[in-house]
Amino acid sequence: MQNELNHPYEDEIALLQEEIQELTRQYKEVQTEAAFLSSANFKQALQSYHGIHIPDQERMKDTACLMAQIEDCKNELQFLNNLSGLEFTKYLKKTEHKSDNQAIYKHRLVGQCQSLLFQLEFQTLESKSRDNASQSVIDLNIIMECREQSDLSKFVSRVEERRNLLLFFRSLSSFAEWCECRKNTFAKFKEKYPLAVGLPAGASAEYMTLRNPQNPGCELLILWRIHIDDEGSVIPILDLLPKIPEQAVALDKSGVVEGAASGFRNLLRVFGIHGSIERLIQSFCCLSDTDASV
Amino acid sequence: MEQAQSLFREGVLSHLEQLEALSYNLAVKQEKQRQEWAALRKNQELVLELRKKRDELKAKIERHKAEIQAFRGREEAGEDHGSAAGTSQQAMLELCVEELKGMLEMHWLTGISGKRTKKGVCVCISTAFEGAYLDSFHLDIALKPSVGISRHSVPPFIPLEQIAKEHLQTDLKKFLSVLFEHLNAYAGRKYQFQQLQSFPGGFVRDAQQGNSLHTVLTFGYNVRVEKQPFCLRAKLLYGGVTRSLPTEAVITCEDNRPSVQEKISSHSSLFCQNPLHRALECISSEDETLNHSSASLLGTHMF
Repeated sequence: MQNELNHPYEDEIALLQEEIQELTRQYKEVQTEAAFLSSANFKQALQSYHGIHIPDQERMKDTACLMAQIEDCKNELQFLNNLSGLEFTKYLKKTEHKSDNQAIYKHRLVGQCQSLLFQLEFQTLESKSRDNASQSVIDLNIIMECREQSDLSKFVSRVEERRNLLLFFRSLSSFAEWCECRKNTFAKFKEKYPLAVGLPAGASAEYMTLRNPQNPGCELLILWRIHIDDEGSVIPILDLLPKIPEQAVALDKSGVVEGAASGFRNLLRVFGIHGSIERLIQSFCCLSDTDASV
Repeated sequence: MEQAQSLFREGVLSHLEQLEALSYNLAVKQEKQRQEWAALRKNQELVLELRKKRDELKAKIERHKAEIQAFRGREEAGEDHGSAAGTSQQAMLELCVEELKGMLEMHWLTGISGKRTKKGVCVCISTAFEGAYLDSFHLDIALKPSVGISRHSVPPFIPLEQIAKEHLQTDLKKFLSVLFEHLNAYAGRKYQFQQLQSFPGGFVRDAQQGNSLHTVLTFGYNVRVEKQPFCLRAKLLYGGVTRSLPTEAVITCEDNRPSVQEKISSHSSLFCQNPLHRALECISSEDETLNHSSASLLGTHMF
């Protein structure tokens, strides 16, 4: 009978211990979330560590250990950034639901890929069965500034709809790399041929203009789009658009202007992007040696 | 005499023995009771302590939640955040470590992740089809003294050597990105084939992969055209090894009537533009609604 009297307490103890465990986990999460929202705090904590005395010896040892861990993680992350082209600046993972064989997590991630910033909110479902574990994305929201790039914004909404998080990262990485390549190429030509090459919308824009300094009325527009297809493959598409006054077009009996675009495409196939633009400038702009050597 | 003596001895001694046993049992019982009471008291105290701890935690969580709400409010108002009250520097550092570790784990979801090793790097390439994460592949790449793959789990039909020859020495990032495209497309095709096998046998049958790269796939499926059942044979060709959708879908049927041929051409574009299981779901639901409407037409006809 005495034993029976003990039971209610034991049950309650077990329940309480379980509840405390769960609450501790929740506490950690809200703590992380609060910290995530006030990211300034990380910096404060780090700064105050570097600049001040810590009275307690024990604590100093702990803190030093933590600092070493932070340093390790940062190095490892830097290494991964170089491999994948993706850089994460803020991250928060929260448990939404947990049971014996499955768990739902909510993630918030802020990061960038070259000059493209992104913010993601997504949920993952991890389920375990007897012989395997699986993971899937069950909800995906992407916030990105891509008004100027219609291809990218179309891709983003397609990826959201299909919850293809992995493809988003991979395609974004190669898209950003192509953007960087385009920017560098444009800037390099502008530097090499300052009189012939124009970048009216800046080096990051989709086009650059070519003109012959001796004949400013005629202009060629090199349009360089970076297309992302349905399956996430990134393909650069270059086009040549002549901007020639009507009078000049009337004089063009052999259809040079009309054939310019297809001619340029052939050129691309043979010489590649860089070589084609170079040859185009040389021939169209008829540059004197002085300009070319600048 | 002897008999009386033994009787007397037994009587008194057994009585004493009984008394002794009684007192012993009583002592044991008392001790046991005392212990149980003590345990009970201890448990009572523990319960109180745990309750207190729980309530404290709850309060702390509430406080942080309120804080988060406040931050959200300020975030919306576009103000700069202050510092979270009541979190020590030590705790902040711990959280920082947690966040960084989370970021490291997060890389697994991006397709290319890895860990540095003594000689180089151990890369993990993960694959996914739409939201579902599929197989991962690992490569041990030595960077010093020279770049080379020491071990890997990439299937033999993926042209790893060729990709390595083209990019590994010059650009590790490019190498991984090309290899990823091959592996992800292969995993995606394999996944669709597995999905195909889970359709009921009455609808889809004889599903067969043409090769281990899963670039050729054949199966038969049943449809109803003008209320008549037909069996169509489909052959899907995946022309690009870095693609997970077919480049060509050849569908054949023994019957040549125009309505069947029409169906065939619509299915062919459906297969080329959609994941296989999605396309088949679409075909089967189309069929069902047709059957339903024809059944109801039949019904009205009868009455």
